[in-house]
Amino acid sequence: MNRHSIVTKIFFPFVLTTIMFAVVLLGVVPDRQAKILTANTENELFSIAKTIALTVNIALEKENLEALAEFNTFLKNDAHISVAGIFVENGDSFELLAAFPSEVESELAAGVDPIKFLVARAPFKTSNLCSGQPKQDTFI
Amino acid sequence: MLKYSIWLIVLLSGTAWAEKLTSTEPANLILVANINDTIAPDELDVQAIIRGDQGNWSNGDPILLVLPGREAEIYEQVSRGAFGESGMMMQKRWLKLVFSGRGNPPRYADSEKEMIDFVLNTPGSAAVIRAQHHQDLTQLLVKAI
Repeated sequence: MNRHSIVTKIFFPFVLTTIMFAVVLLGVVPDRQAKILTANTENELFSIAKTIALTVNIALEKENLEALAEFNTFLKNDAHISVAGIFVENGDSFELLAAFPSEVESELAAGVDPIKFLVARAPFKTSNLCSGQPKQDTFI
Repeated sequence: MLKYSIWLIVLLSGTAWAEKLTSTEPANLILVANINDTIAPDELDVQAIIRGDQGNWSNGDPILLVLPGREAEIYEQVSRGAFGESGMMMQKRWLKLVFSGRGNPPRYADSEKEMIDFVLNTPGSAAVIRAQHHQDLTQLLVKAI
């Protein structure tokens, strides 16, 4: 092979560079984008979980369920959220208090598969719902 | 003076204790509703209304239920008498219904008077109160529980 030929000087570097770009575009970029998308979705879910926790806290402390009803409408209209639940701490375990939608209550009570679902959790405390065990958690 | 003060404290404590006992005693309860006269009392399914299974009146209007809040004297009486459970459980039940979208959010009132005033002034509303107020509420639909 002639090291000074035009093929050696231009074509091979061009092919090599193209292959490197292809590897980056096909392998690294989608992987990073998937991670960024997952992180963004998890952040969004966490924000929603925190809002639910706050809403439940207001519902229990202030005895006002209006905000919770508004939030139910939001959940119904948001196609990204498949399941939401309110869990009450019961000793070392958690007991399902309420589920959205109500049809998934038994499945949610059995546990959420973290491989199938992205799960966000926001704990909250109330002074009056649980006697002796005031800590509760919300998962989405 | 000290002797009288002690007696006064003992007396007030006794009164407070007696009031607490009264508030948990079983009471005859009634459902009062501010709805038009096209609905007969016999048509009302009281249990379905107060348990959130029925969210609308037979004419399609939403039922605005008023329940006693924690501060209300009849909190435990109503929850035990109408729901057969504690006040805390009653609140959990309604939180569950509203969160899952199966029930209209009820309003919590701090006193029986507040509940009655709300029902008197709000068409489509209903409340569970003690039967002793029955005579004063002739303009409302009344049904025993």
